[in-house]
Parts: sequence; structure tokens; C-alpha cells
Amino acid sequence: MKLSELQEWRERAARGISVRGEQKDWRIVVSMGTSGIAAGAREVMRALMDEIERQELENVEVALTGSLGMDDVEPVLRVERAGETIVYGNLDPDAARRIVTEHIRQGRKVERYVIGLPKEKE
Amino acid sequence: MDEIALHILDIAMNAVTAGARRLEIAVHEDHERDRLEVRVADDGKGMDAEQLRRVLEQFASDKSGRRHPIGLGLALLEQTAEACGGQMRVASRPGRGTEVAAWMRLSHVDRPPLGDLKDTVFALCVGAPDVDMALTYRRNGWTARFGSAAVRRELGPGQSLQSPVGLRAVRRALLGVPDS
Amino acid sequence: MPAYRSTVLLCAGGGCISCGCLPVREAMEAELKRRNLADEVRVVQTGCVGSCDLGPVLIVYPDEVFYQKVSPGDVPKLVDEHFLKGRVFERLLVKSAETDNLIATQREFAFFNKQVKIVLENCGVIDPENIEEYVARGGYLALGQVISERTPEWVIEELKKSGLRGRGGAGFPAGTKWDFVRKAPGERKYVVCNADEGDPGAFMDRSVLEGDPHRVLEAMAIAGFAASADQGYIYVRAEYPLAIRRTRRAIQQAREAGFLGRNLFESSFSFDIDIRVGAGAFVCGEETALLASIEGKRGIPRPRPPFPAVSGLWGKPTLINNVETYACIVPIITRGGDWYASIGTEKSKGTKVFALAGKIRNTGLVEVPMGTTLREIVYDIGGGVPNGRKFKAAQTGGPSGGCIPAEHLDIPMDYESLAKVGSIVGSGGLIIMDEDSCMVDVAKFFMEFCTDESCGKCPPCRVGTRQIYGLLDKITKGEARIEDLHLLEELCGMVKESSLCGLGQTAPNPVLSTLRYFRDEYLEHIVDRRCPAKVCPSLIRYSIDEAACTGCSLCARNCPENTIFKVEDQKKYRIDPARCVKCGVCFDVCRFGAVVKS
Repeated sequence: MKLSELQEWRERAARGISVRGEQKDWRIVVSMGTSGIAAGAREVMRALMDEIERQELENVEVALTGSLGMDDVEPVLRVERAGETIVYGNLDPDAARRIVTEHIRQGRKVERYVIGLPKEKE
Repeated sequence: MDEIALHILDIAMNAVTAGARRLEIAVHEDHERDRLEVRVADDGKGMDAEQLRRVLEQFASDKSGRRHPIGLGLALLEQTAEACGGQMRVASRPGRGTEVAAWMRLSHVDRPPLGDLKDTVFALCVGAPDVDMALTYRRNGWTARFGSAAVRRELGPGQSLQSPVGLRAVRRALLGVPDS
Repeated sequence: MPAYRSTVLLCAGGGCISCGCLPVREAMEAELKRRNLADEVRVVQTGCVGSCDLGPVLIVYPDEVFYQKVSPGDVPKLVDEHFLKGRVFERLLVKSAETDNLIATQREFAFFNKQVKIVLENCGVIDPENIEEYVARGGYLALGQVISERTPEWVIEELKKSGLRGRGGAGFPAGTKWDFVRKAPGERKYVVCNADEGDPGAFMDRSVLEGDPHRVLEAMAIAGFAASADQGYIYVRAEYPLAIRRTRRAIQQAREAGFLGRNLFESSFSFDIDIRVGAGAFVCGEETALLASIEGKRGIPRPRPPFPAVSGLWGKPTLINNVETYACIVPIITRGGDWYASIGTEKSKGTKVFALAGKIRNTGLVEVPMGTTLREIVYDIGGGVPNGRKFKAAQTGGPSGGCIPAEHLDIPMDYESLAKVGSIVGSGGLIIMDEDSCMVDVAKFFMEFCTDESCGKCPPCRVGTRQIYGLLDKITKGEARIEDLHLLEELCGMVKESSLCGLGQTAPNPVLSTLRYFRDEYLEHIVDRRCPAKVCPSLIRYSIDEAACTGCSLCARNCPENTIFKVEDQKKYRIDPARCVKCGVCFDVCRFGAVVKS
């Protein structure tokens, strides 16, 4: 066996043992600018990842971005799926967990934290 | 910012926004010399002297790309460092990258706690998985290191840092990094 | 491989098998088939999960719901609730020790979430009989990379950086040992894995071999590469049939896949492994005795030097480490020595697996960073001492170790701190004792073990341990005099100083450390002729509190010696102390607390 063959085998095998959901079609973008961080964005991010891991969701991609320009409602994140974008604000770790469970898993928006689309300021 | 780790996250996010591919964070708690040193270096797009002067003015930031203001975080760190008997230096060259170095007195009453460094690194390497993150944390003679490249190597090409397996690997690799 | 909605991990470690997990598996598979769920839910038989007192144990992924004490009869209802109705089946959940709340998932369970698993990371997660699952978790990549891209010096350098110390008991730096063997002159060299785990109560090595055997094989092959050896032996005791079977199977699979055998990863490096089954003598865990046993000779130790690194198996340089040590190698190679060194304390790096047993709520295997305090292990992970009793002491390191009294509960569990209080990390046995444990009796138990296991080659151990046992026996019978205590101490010192191998040198430790912390208890046995913990039969007497006795006659009917009689004209019973054999049956059966032990 060559090292490269082992690596290929490993990838095939890894697909076998992971418990997979649908296609990876969700994307969550967390605003991680100064005001977001000060308002608790890191803890929100952490809760988000813990929940994704706990529920073994493999179809979610999470990204960080600098400020989304909505400093008054930080922490803020954006959930994107097939062209549709929902922005949530005034979050805390609990809200982040709810977004994973209700929005991503069950397909229901968490109305309480929805704040609409960011205004384009350019 | 009530944690040093949050300051670090903020400065590091500037680097991510500046398109860094490599990000080096070093924290040194030197009890003998009563110094806490923080260094964040990146290979992002960098700043020229004029931009640098402006970002260091409190609450003035580079508003050319409105959605990505940089600078407030630097000013906040500088404020904290100086309030705690230390200082901050920034060296930057356009196209080459930026290095932020700050130190403060460990025993100063106003010094914020180190905070959850683990969570900071976790957020960065999971949220910006393409950046090569390296962390060195030193306290007296003891060193903890973390490198996202090594975790990615360990995971192999099939798994991302964000997959459940990847997250677990990141956490495991972060074991030695302090979280309070 | 098809994609399953859910995976049921069924612990098939030795503990769970003995409490009947295999019928649970059959029932589960039959039930899933009956409900047409066989394509959606997969059942995987894993190695030990660690919580042995709760077996048979099931963990259902992806939710990580943790079910305990599952019987085949529970299975239809469990499948119905969990997989069809999508609800957690509450009756089989664990209850929290502090709050009495139900715990649904593995990560809410303090027993698991306070642990840091490196050695046991795959145990209870993968199917040990399927190499594919090991490969999926990155198995054999470390070996492939080391052979293809690294040098033996690099491997040893990483190992030195990691600060890993041998987990067999002595704690010798692993990197240094590997380096000795590498530099020892000689054409032929060997790699040996010591799986002759003999300490009463310790079973981490068995669990690794049963739950993740490939991890040990891969590490031994890396060791072979680093020390330029081409043959490895795993010495495992015959009392571990499951470990032997799974390891054999793993070796077979690794050979077929080309991870063992000739020209590994198309290099010039060849390495193969065989199993040697020992008869289970405790002394064969001593390295020189073990090597003699592999050679087919009687398993008795010989003086060192020469150390096995210079002259071991058939006189050739031999690298010998125990199972847990090898189980740390692959993570160190993959994640780097610096990473490993960042866990644990200044001088004791990494994690240690402890086998938690005795008077504690959660028993089983726990893996924690070196330096975790005894209090965290006992109270946070172990759930504390049950039945409202108080913690008295913990015995670490089995018959070679010592006890740690309650005043040292905050001691960090690492090599140096334990040595300071007169105990050792040893192989990781951790027995918790409460107020009902008699420390003289504990010391006597371990001494009896050493007496039995002494190989007989050197007189200090052969004769000394027997004499020490005799003295302890006298003390527990209330026949000892104060001079015997001095004699006991003198004997312990002599056996410790003059025995040939580790068995004898450490055999007095349990006596010395109980004497150090519980001298008063010895004195009470000798001077007052009483056993404060009410354990030693000769020093206790049973009587009936006539005020509490209801005259139900249950004790009298159960007494094997018919020593309990009815007081004339009264509805009360009494014990004849002269004929009482102190079996304690009356005490156990009385429902009114009328039988008193004093």
C-alpha cells in the first residue's frame, strides 16, 4: 500500500462512518467586528458550533465576517440558503442554539430575533 | 472589551478581513518581569503610514470599505495597554502584512483577565478555516501551541474543520490553551 | 457504505459482555429488522465505553443519547420510542448524582464530560473488529507518513518533546528509552508490548486492546521504524481472551491491508507482530520476567543492568513499553510532541487512564489530564461516595502503591505529587474507600496478593512478604502486641531494600502508607483490640438491641450456626457470643436495625 492509497481509502471510509444529512446547503455568517465581539459574538459563535456538533449537522457552513454595519443590534448573524437570506440580531448563546434547531433543522424562522436585511450603505 | 482574549479576537479579525493567509498569535504571561505580552501578526494587505496614523486615532477608522471598518479595535487595545502601564506598537507594510504588539503590567489592577483564549482561537479557526492559524501561549517556562494547519493535516482532505469530526479535532488540539 | 440515519453504539467491552450485552445486540437487530429500520439504523459493537457499572450500555448517535442497564426485554420499547416516535426513552436514562435529574446525552453526563480522551479516544466509538473504522479515523496515516517522509531521529525527537513517560508504573521517559534502543549496537532488535496487566482492579490495557487494537499495532510499527526492529511481540495474559481474539484479528487485518509485513508503504522497512499468551503470573508484568516468558522460559526476573534496551529478548536490544504508552504514540506523531506536552503538568505530560473502583458512584475507566486533582476524579467524575458515607482514602497503584487519605484530596494526580505523599501513579488502579473500610484489612489484602504472586526467586520477597502477611493477620485478629508493629516496619524496610525486582521492592508500600496515615487504626487493633471500621471479624461482635427487636425471628432463622435464641417469656432474640462465627447474616437480614455491630 502506498501512502496516497491509504489517504484515498481513509476518505472513502470516513464517508461511511459519518452520519450524514442532506447536501451542505446552509451557510451562517457571524458578524465578528469590534462591536460584535464586545456584545458577545464569540459566545454566540461558540454556542452555534456546539449545537451544530451536538446535532451532527454536516450541511451547515459557518463563516466569520467583519462588522455587518449593524452595531446597535449586535451580535448579528446571517443565515443563507438558496439565495434567501435572513438576518438575526440581539443574539445570545441560547438564541444561537434555537436558530440551529428551529431554523436549520426544522425550517422555521426564529421570528423573535429576525431583524431583516442589512441596509446597503454604499 | 473585558477580556484580553476578546481584544485578540478583534485584532485577528482585522487580519482576516485584510485577506491574511497566515495569522500568528503569541501570548506571553511573564510573571517574573510582571508583563503580559500579546502579539498578532498577519500577512494580509497591510497599511501605509497614513492609514496607520488614522486607525490609531480613536474611533477613526478606514471607512473606504464601509462594511469593514478597521481600527476601533486597535485603538481599544492601545487604550487598555496604556491604562495598564504598558504600550502598543503597530508595524505594517502595504502588501506585506501587519504586526501588532502590545504589553501591559500583569499585576496592574485595571488589567482585564486573559479570558477564554481557547474560544477565541476556536472561533477564528472554525470561522475562517482557510487561514493558517498559529498560537503560542507561554506562561513562565511553560508553552502551549496550536496550529490549524496541523489539525487540517490530521483530518485529511475529506473533512473540514467545521464537520463534527473536525470540531472535535480542533477542541482536542486546543486542550493546552487556557480558557479562563 | 450506505448512509444511516442513526448509529447505535453498543459497548462490548469485557464488563458489558459479562452483564449480557450480546443478547441485547441480537434483540436490537431483530427489532430493527421487524420495524423495517435495518437500513436506517446501524448497530456497531464497540470497545469499552468506560462506565462499566452501568452496563449493558448503548449510545445512540447522532444525538448521543446514553442508555444504561439495557436488557433484551427493553429493546422493543426502546426502538419504538427512540426510532419510531423520535423520543428519548426515559426509563433507561442515567440519573444525575447531585440533582436526581435524568441525563439524556453522553456529554451532559459528568462522568464523560469532565474527561479528556486521548488514549481512549476511539474506545467505545469504533468497531474494533473492523479495520475500516480505524482507517476512517485517520488510522495508519501516522505510520505511512513516518515511513515515507520522516526519519527515526525525527520520531524520537517528537517523542522527547512530548514528555511522554512510560505508563506501566515506573514513569521512565519514553523518548529516552526509544533512543537507547535505537543507539544500542546490534543487527537484530525487538519491540515488545507489555499487556500483562496484573494489578487488581486495573483494566485500561485490556480495554485498549479490546476497543482499539490497531492503535497499539500502529504504534509498535512506528516504534519498530524508530528503533530499526523488524519484529514485535505483544505479551498478553490468557485471562484476557477477548483482547487476545480482537488483537489477533487486528493483526490479520493489518497484514492483509499491508500495514504489517514486508516493505511497508513501499519502503525497505518491514515489520510484523506476534502475540505471546502468558499464564497470568503477576511477576510477568516485570519486564525481565516477561522477556524470559516470551523466550519460553519460566517467568522470573533477573537483575538489571543490563537493561532490556541493551540486552533483552534473546540477548538482543529490546524496546518494551506497556499498552497505554503505545496508545499515546499515534496522537503524538500526528499532532506533535509540543501539543502533547501542553497537556498535563510541568513534569507529567499528557493524560492518564485510571480504573475507578470501590466505594464510588460511577465506576469504570476515566481518562484525565495529568495533574487533575483526586477530588475532581472522585466527586466530579466519580459522582462521590454513595450512601451518604464519607471518603476515607484512595488506593493508587494497586499492590505496589499506597493510599491517599482525605486530607490530601486536593492532590494533583501526577508522578511527582503522588510520590511526595508516598504513593505512585502505577498502572492507574484507583480504589476508593469509605469509613467502612479497614485500612489494616486493605493492607492485608494487598499483601496476600503479593505473597501469592511472589515468584520465589529471591528470599526477601518470598519469605518477607509471607512474614509481613502473618503480622498483619495477627493484628487483624487482635493477637498482636506493640512490638509487632516495630517488627512490621523493620520487615517492610528490609523487603523494600533487598528484593530483586519491582514486585518485592514495592510490595510493602500499601503497609507503609497505611501505617503513615492510619497508624492510629493499627494501634486500635493492637492496643484496644477493636476494629474501628468494624471489618475484622475477630474484633467485632454482633448483638441484638432488645429495644429495637420486634421478635420477628428472621435473624434466628437465617443464622447458619443456630446461635440466636429467643429470650424466655419475651418476644425478643439474643445472640450467643461464644458460638457466633461473625458471618454478619443477621445484620444484613434485620429490617429493624436491631442487630448491632460493635
